Amino acid sequence: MHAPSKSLAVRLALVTVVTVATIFFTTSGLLYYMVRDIMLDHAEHQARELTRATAGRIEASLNEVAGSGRTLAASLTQGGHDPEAMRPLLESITTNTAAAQGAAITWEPEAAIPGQRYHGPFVYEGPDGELEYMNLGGDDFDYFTRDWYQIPALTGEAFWADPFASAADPDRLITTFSTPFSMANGEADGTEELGGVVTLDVELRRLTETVDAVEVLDSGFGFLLSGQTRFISWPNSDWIMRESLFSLAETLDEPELRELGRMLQRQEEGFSRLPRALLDEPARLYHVRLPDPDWVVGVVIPERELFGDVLRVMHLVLIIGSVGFLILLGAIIAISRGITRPLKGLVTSAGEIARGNLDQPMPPIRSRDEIGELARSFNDMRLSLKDYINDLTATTAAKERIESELKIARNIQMSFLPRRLELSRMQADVDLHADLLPARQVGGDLYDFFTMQDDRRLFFAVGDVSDKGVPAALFMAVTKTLVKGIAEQEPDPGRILERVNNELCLNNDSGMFVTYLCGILDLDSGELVMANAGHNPPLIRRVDGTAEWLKLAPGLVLGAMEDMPYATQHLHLAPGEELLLYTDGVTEAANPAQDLFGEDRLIRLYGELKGRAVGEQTAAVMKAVEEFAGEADQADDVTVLALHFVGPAGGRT
Amino acid sequence: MRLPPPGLPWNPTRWVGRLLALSLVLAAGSAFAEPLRVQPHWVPQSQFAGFYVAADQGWYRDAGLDVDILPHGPDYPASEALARGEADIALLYLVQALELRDAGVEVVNVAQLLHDSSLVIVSFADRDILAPEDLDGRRVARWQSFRMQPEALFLAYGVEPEIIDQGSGVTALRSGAVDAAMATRFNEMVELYLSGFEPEELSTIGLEEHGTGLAEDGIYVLESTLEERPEAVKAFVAASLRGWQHAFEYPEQAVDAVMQRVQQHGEPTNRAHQSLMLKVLRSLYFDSDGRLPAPVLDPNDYLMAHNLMNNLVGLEREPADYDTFHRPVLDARPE
Repeated sequence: MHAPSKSLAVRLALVTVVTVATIFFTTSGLLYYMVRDIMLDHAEHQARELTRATAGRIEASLNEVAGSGRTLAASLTQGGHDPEAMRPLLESITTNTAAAQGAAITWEPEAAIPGQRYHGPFVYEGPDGELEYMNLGGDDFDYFTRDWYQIPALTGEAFWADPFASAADPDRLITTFSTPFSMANGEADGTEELGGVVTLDVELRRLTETVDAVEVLDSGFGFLLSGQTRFISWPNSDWIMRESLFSLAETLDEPELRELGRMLQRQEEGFSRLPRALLDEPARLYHVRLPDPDWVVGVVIPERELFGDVLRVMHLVLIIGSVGFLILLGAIIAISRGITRPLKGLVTSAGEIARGNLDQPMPPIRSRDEIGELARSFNDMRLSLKDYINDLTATTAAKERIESELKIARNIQMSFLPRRLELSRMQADVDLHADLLPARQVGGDLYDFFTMQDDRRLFFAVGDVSDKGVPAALFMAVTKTLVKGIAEQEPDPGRILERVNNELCLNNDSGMFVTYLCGILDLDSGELVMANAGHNPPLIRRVDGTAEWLKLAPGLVLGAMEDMPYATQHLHLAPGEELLLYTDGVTEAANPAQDLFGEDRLIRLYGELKGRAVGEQTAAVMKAVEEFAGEADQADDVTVLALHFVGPAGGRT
Repeated sequence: MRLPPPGLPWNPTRWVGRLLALSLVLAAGSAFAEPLRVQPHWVPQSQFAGFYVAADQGWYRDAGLDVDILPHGPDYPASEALARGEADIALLYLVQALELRDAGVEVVNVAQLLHDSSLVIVSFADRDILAPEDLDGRRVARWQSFRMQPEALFLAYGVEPEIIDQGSGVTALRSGAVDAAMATRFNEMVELYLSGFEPEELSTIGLEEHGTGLAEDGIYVLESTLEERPEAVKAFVAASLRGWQHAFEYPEQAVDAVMQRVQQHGEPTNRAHQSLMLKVLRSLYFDSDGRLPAPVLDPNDYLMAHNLMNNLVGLEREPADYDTFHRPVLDARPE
């Protein structure tokens, strides 16, 4: 016995833990993603509110500036202003517009003052906060080609310039709102033409402060981008006003950034993933594009924070789960061991039983579960087996005794059969040889021959009891004894059979019977009388050597019915003629294909045995039957009796 | 921190050697270097990368020159600085030089760098301006200083757009105030790309491709300077061309040199813009074999520029001979 390669306990534990772990991790993963989605939805909602609120504040601030500008432009379009005395109005606008740090009116060439190409009164907050004044325009400052002038002048619509750094202080970001105004062209039809452009400067610090003030969780932040996605407000100050998403896309070789830039330029509002290049960690971004100027306001929330709580919970769940698995593994191994330990005892006991040791007591198993039942059944089996083997031993001993008795019975039976003719005369006048091969140890066939009291006549017979074994042998012994006794008193075969039949019928409760063929040969005259009780007809070989069946009157088997007549048939044997008597063990011998030996085969064989000694004849028939049967079991006793009539002494030469 | 080897805290021989070396460097840097003031014609950008690289590599100093690249930008017109003698060397477009010459300032071209025009008229693909004919009746912005080439185009194709004086960039185009505007391939086209426009969203009409392109950047000096200091001018041109070749071969280094000046000058540009600019310039400067051609002005370019000028704005003076105007100090390709 060798140990199994993987014990049941380990296998059970592995399969259970792997199955449970798969379920656990799948469930945890799904749960994580579901909660993540919920968190994401939640974050999107929050980010949307926050971004919209911030965008609203910026818009309000810019709208105030635009409103002041439009009011001034409308007022200039109405007319009635002295272009050379605009300073007080500009100062009032600059002061009253919270977001504006400067205001200017720039006229078309010669439109303000005849003969003067440029006129641009400009009020602005100086470095110390005082309002200062200057007149824009001149050969070194041709404002007509400046975007803030040219674009509203050409389009007739307000324009927000891209933010730019102040020349005086690069840290100050400025943008300009400009809007055109008209003036009467002096013609009678009252048509108007472009008078010039009103501009208001807005310092972006207040806007960027609004954006910078945005706080989302711990590290989320707000940002502001220009229409070209240039950074106006962003945590990395190196990028401000220098880099845009498009320039970073090139410098960092991150095409994703360019895609983001184009998306922000086209999509009014949205929640999207922030490329890693911008923050070095995964993050989400919510943006709103302002209607005018087309800047982008947004907030960025790092996923680390967004999903931080979920991740912490998941980590805890995973730790608890992992510890749980270890405990589960231990528990299953312990339980399995509890199950398999008694099994191991059983295995040892079974091995002992296999070796035949039935006295080995079973290991004590107290459990009341299936294992306990198994152990009890096993013990019962052991005990039953032990009893059975004891019985078997006794039975075998009995059988051996019977067999030995049967052997003795056979010897006795065989000793019933005559061995040789006693008389020398007979030996001179007739040759006779008989042989019997019993099917079992004790057979039912018989043959017999003896000389009558007058010493001139020879009695010979062949019979076959309907059964085999000891009862048949006894029946045969009875028959033989009866025949011999009666034959001495009444040397007529028919009478002998009648009397033997009646004797056998008395007290024949077992229903056994015997077929019997007998004859009495007068050795001097060759006279032969025969009677047949249901037996196979004998073969006769004439002097010329031809073998033929000897036709005898039929008679009933002996022992079947009382008072049956048996005809005595008178024949004559010429010297040199031969007889062959046999039982149906010869003709009904079967080969493995269940073909019978048959009478034809027997007569042909007998024909071929012409001239051979009677002993050789019986041996040849026996051998032929044995060869024919081959591997097949011998079903019946085989008996052959051969007789050669030499004739009276004179017949012998 | 490196510590002196133990036991040798003071090594007089070594210190004498160092002092000698230092004095040699000082002599090369000051005593023997010939000062040369150079005026580029725009703000620091990759358009001048070759000069920055030559300066940073020390090739001007090696040639015995003490080159001072003057501050530049819209407020420092290069042609005026040259005319007034505030600069010894100026970088000018061919047209600017011709205008100076017509105004009586005797400038000469000592090296032609950019042989073709980088100018285009750009519009948006959805505005149906795909060929010069489409410009008829449209509002087109063009730079006053580069008016001749587009106007020659309009004349050649018989179109009459509404011409608008263009400011510095292409914001007017982006805002929709004009239908088309002028742009250089190396600057404004890059700017548009970096504003989020894909090349296929733009339509460009190249002036060179339509036969009205003129040669652009060249190195100019006053005739008197060339006569008085020919060796210095020649050394400057040679070192500069070497600088250009190097700039195109090692663009990262060149952009570093540009960005350093950009930051000093506080320009609101970025590395991406300058890298892309240098890349475009490389394609404009280089021959098909990947090298700079000889810095020689094509006589036909000179003739064509004169003809355009004469036809479009008129000439005050008889134009100078080609040989008088163009005095190549190097007539072979730089190695």
